[in-house]
Amino acid sequence: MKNSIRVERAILRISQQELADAVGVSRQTIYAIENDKFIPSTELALKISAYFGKTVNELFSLD
Amino acid sequence: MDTRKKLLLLPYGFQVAGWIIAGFSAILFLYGILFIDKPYIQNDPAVFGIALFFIGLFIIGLSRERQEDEFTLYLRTRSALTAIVVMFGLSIFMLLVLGTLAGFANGNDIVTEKVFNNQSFADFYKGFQRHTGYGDAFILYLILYKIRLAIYKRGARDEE
Repeated sequence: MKNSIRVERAILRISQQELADAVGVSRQTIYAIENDKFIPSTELALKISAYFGKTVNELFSLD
Repeated sequence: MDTRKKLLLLPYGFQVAGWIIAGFSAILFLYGILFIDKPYIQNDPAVFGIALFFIGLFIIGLSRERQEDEFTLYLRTRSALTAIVVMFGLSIFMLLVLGTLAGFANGNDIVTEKVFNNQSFADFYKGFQRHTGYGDAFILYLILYKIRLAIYKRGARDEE
């Protein structure tokens, strides 16, 4: 599964730590998701999408 | 649903205490080995050090991280599964491969001496079983989990 979290983060100019704090996870969790090492739960995917003002489908897509 | 509530773990402070206990027990063990001239089993500081070390590791393995989330739960699960599979694999290897070797080598002094340390296979396997139990699986789980977590922490730090 691919995602555009890194791109969205770059647009808003926020760090992994800031995003992690906003959605209530650790920085290494955001790092793992961005690098396709970990697929987040539906709950976390919804939180991240809501933070960027996007839908889950816009942020996450199948390979 | 809060997935963090599914895993019962001790608070993060216990992990710090666990590391302190493990560190202290390592010093105690070294003191016993280096400065007390007694056989290992009668060497109280060394034996007590090892026992305390395992207690420390047990506390570390069952304590929360500073920020416990679904990714740490994923790493814990993966590491525990790997540890169980490795230990089970070692057990199977011992039974099938070395058991077969013991059968073929029955009466061969060189194999009996070099591979099985002059023991029967049954005794050799009993000795090995002591090292593939839950305790060793737990230590392997802890090592794998901490290494994986450290890799991701380092990766996140490098990218920052």
